This record gives sequence, structure tokens and C-alpha cells, in this order.
Amino acid sequence: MSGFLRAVGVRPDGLETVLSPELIGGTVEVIHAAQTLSNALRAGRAEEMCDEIAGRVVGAGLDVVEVLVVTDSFDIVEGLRADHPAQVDREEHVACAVPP
Amino acid sequence: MRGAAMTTTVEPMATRRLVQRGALDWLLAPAPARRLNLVRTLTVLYGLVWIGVRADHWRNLSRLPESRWRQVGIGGWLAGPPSTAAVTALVLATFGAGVVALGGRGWTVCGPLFAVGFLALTTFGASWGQILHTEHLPALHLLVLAAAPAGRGASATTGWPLRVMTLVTIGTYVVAGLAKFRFGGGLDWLDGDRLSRLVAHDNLRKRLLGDPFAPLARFVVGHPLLLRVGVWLTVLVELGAPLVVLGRRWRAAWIGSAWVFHITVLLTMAVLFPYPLFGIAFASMLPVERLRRQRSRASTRRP
Repeated sequence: MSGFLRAVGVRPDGLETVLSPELIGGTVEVIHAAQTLSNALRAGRAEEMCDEIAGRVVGAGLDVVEVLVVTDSFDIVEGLRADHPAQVDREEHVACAVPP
Repeated sequence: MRGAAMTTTVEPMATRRLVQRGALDWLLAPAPARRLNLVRTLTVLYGLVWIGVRADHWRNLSRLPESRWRQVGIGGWLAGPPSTAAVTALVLATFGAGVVALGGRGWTVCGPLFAVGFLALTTFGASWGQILHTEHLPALHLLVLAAAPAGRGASATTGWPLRVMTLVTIGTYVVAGLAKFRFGGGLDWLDGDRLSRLVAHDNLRKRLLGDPFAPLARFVVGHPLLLRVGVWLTVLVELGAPLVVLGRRWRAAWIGSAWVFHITVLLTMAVLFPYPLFGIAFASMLPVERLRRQRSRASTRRP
């Protein structure tokens, strides 16, 4: 079991959508995106980070109304092998609305 | 008795002197100037392509909020991140110096400018929370080349930069090998379980963020024995890097093994190390000037 800190977008119908590393961290680098979230959480800047991501979501024109910063836990081996990896557990750190 | 005592004190000294002399002979052994020139061309060309590929990324970083800035390495004196205009100017100046250096003109000025510019840009890139290890070796190699003379013939002055580059390459692999024990749980690293989790974690993270993940990742995480063998081979390659100084066969065997290691990392973790994969990291160890001669021979044979 392993936890993944990530940001996900919530669509108007309540379904979640993956946010790209570019939307999360501001660059195309996956590790940079993950490290950015981790640093922000550790520094107590999770809300600021969430708003920053929401701003980029607006700029990208995605149909997303809310951003969640969460730690999703997966059985990593099963998760990697599954066609649709499903988390075993979730801890929500912060949620912020995407400005219209 | 006195004689025996003298033998025990003199022998280690003589051995040490021999080793020191051998090391110095190896370091200063002449090498063809053509080799140094070609290694310089390849390394600078790689640096130019890297700058071209990463320029947008660095410019994007400069637009991020200042709170994300974590200065590492040189430039600790900077109060904050440089502006996008400053980063763009540095990219253009470094690229320009590299192009001039590649043309073989003004190496004494353009070589150091390019090396320092490359170091500054990659350090800037590493100051936002992610360190790209693949940038370290070319940055160090460029600094060594910047200190090297242009070189006209085979001499000690054309030999030492190549040997120092080789030592730097050896150093990066040994440090990477030791770091796995230091941060990977000591000797427990060797059981392969941590590598299995690392491969699974890294690939699943990529997958969750919608990024391409390694084609062999799913296969290898289901085969613990394969990963255990992989861990041992990785340790052998990384800690065995100093073997390249022992001679041609050892060098060839190690370079081949290191290349296969990087291909395996790419196929199992989707982590690309272009500098060694394109062979440029190993160019200082090889008689690369023969490639050029063979190419010119082949082209003269053609009708």
C-alpha cells in the first residue's frame, strides 16, 4: 500500500477527472508536480496551492468546478496491473472552487 | 630484526609511490587531440540540444510563484528567482556561446561561458523542487572541457581532460550506487523488494497523472526474482564503474553494461538518461576519433 498525493478535478456532474502535471505543478514534469504538492502541504500552503491549480484549470478551459488535493492510497502492484486502478483509501487535504 | 622492521615500513611507502605514479601516468597519458576535439564537439552539441529542449520548461518555471523557489547549488546569493526575461537572456547567451564554441572558434572564451551558462540554467531548473540527475554529468563534463586547452597534437595536455571526464563519470555512478544503500534501506536494498515497490510506485504515479508509463513495468513487478537479479546487476554496474581504468576490455564491458542498465531503466521506469544512452557520457573513455576516420574512409570508397 502506498499513498499518492495528487490534485483531481471535479466536473459539474460530480465525476472526477485527472489533472495533468502541467495543471498541478505548472510544468510537464510528473515528479515536479508531485514534489510541488508535497512541499506545499508540508509548508502549510495547501490552500494557496489549490487556488493556484484552480487558476490554471480556468486558463485551460476545462469543465471542472472544484479542485481537490488528496492523498489516495493504492495497492501499488495491483493498481499498476489493473486496467482502472481504484484507490483503497482517500484523505482529503483541501478543496477549492474553480472560479467561473 | 631491524631489517625486517625497515621492510615493513618501506614496502607500503614504495607501493604507495608506485600507485601514485601509476595514477599520475594514467591521468597524464597523451591522447590524440582529435579525440579531445570530437569529445568536446559531442558534449557541446548535446548541451545545445538539451538547452533547446528545456528552454520552454525553464521559462515556465520562472513564471511560477516565488514561494515555490528553493535555491540549490550555485546562486545561493540570489534573493529570489530570476525573471522570465533574465532566464530567456541566459538561454540565448548560453546557446550563442555554445554555437560559437561548436564551430571551433574562441574556445577559451566561449567554452567557459557555455559551461557556466549550462550550469546556471540547470541549477535554476533544479531550484523548483525537482532535481534532474541526468543534467549533472554533462554540466560537470562541460566544466572540465572549459578548463581544457584546444589542443593541437597528442600530448599530456590533451590527455588529462579526457581522464578527468572519465573520473567524473565514474564518480557519478559510484555515488548513485552508494546512495541506493544510504537511502534505500542499507543492505535490505539488495533483496529487491524496495526496487519492486519503487518501480510500481513510480509507474503508478505516472499513470495516475495521465503520463506514459514504462512498457515493462507491469511485467517486472510480478517477477520478484527478476528484480532481485536487477538490483545486484545495478550495484555491480554502479559500484563497478572504477573498473574502466583497468584497461580496454574492462572498459568495453562496463560501458556495455552501463548502457544496458540505462535501457532497462527506460523500459521499466520510463526514466530517460539521454546523455549515457546516446553514448556521449562514455565518449571520453573511447577512441572516438576512429569513428570519424572510418566514416571518412567509407565515404571515399563510395563511387
